[in-house]
Amino acid sequence: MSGHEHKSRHRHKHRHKKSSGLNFIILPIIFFCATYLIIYFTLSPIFSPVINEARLLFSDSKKDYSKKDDFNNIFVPIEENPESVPVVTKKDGKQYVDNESVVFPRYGDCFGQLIMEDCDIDCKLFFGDDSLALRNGAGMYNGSFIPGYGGTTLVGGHNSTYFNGLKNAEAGQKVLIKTSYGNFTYTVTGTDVKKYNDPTAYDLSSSDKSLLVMYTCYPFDELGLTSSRFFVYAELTDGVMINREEAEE
Amino acid sequence: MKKVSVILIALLMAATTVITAFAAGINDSEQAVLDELKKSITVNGVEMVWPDAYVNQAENFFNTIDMTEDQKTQIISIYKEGTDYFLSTGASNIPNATVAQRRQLFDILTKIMNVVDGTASYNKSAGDVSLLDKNGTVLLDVVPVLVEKSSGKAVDSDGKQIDTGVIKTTGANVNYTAIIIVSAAVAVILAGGLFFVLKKKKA
Amino acid sequence: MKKNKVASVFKKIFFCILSFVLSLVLFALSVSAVLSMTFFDMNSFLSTMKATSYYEEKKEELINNLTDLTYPSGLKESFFEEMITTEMISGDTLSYITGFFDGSKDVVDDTAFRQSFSEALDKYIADNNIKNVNTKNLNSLINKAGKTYSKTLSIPLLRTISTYFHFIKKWLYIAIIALACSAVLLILILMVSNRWLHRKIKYICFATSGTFLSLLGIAVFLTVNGGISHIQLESLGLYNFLVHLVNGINIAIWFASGLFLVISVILFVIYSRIIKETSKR
Repeated sequence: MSGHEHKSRHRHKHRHKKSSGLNFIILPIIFFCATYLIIYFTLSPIFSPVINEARLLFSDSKKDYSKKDDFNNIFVPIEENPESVPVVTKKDGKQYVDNESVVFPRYGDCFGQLIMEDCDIDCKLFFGDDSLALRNGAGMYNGSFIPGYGGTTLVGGHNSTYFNGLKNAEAGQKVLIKTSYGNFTYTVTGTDVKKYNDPTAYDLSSSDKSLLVMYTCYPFDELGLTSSRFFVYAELTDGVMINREEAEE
Repeated sequence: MKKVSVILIALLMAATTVITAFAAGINDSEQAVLDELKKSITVNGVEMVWPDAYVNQAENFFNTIDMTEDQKTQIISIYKEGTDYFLSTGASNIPNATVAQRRQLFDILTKIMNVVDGTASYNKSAGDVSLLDKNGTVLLDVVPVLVEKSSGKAVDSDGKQIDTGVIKTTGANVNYTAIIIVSAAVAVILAGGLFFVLKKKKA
Repeated sequence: MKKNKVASVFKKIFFCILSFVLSLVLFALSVSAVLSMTFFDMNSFLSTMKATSYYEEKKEELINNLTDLTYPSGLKESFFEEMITTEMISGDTLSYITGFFDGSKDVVDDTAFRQSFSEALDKYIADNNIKNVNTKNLNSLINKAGKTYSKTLSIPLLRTISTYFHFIKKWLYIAIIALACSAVLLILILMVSNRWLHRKIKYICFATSGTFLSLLGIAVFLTVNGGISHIQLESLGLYNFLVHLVNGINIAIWFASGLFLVISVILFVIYSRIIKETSKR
């Protein structure tokens, strides 16, 4: 018998110890865990700025990309009879709109109508001033207050459409704002041209005075992008205020 | 007849309401939060406040919800956490804080949102923060910035005025398409997390 | 005998470590290969844009954004629908993406747009006999419109990842070659240093199984979380593009994972047969 044959027979007689089938499961799992541990400890310090930045962009739900061409209209004109709106009488003897009956608008709601006959303006009034609102009417800045609440009501509109007539605004003219909880008449006190970022153009701090500030781009009927705005200032002269306190018994 | 017409109008108004009815008006809890938001703080020798417009937005929002005493307590507590942290950064205004510091503030805001099943998201291109309810509906978009109490203006580190977005340029400001929904929980988010009003430094 | 046992144990540990390193190398190689064919491949970027109607979506966004900007001036949507074409958008986007990939620039060039807009405005003024035109305000409008155009077509995320992107891109192909060579070397070591065929196959099978599980982890994570579908982006076109791109990467990783599963199963079957045959003998 040759050495090669001897070796060959010896090899064939050797029974290979079969690896446990579990090794084919356990070891790959260990490899999997070790791989991710290595990735975590070596790469995460390098990529953490990007990961943190990216984390800001994710939310728990998908973004809604559906086009919002429709707006919610909550404006229900009150009847000619103002007694149809529930009122309360406070200790000062004056009547106020019962705030329980007021449906406060949400952003994007059409909640009223703005009429300025002398300037040929008659348009919807929206709570909020995004592009949808300004295309369909005048938009009330949601950082100001609704008519009747007190404080300043800041309303913007495009000078080429609904607020084009503001160019004819003068002191003494009337502005009527109709809402579901009452009609409010303002009297124009003056106009001015200021820059859009001039904080002296309007005062949004809470006050007992009810003011209306309407604005639009200036100059009128001009093709171009301007930083100036035409402001119209008015004071409330008629209308029942909303009761801002808890209802009296 | 008068009584019937009043009832009819009330029903009609209720029918147009898309959210559950809440008692309108500002209750004591909401007023307490608003008072907290209106407080000023001295930052690097300058008295700073939140823009009136932001506080008014909060007030308008509170008119559509009913905040509880417990929520008020939570709001003010988390609010102070954000306040204390911002003071510790030494930044003169929120936009002037470092990216890491603003991220920390954003995390505090997110923590508040998570309490009420909401989230916050950051619009990188516009630099504003959106608060979202659990359905992903945007509640509010704001540029987090304080203004000087005396001038009502805010400036960045280069001395350039920061636009708080009150007066629209052409209606192209598509970031301000917030849709506010009524939710008591959202009030916690809005007041406590969105506005990092800085409390007065203790004398 | 005791010494042989200890040596045997050390040998097993050594080969297991080699097997793990091979698993890691194969995992890195797979991920690198997938990324080089998708995220780091400009053609893949551009074909994904085409597949998701990116240019059409961007055209619509542009028209909306520009109309919002110019609405007070009386310019309606129809003005921009005529002026803006998908060819203009795809041309500027191609230039932007190419500039990003080769590291030359990462801004959208709005020169052609501003020129077109200026010409369209001149024609509009002439056709409508508009007298009230302030040159300064008009230029301001054109500048702002140009910025709106650039901003709409830009992909803001690219700037954030720019540093990482170019670094990885620079070394990616070298890394793939190095990883491939390492994998071959490791397999050779396992083959040469093991006496028995079944053991060679066993350790390679451990490695490919580990790679399969590691790749499966990524694939399952992305699938369960819906990819990046919860990303909040203003642009629908960009959203669709990114989601599609990441889905493509996810599919490629599933494929790679499946490939390693098949290899592992084949190796296991071969191993089992060898054991069976030697047991019979």
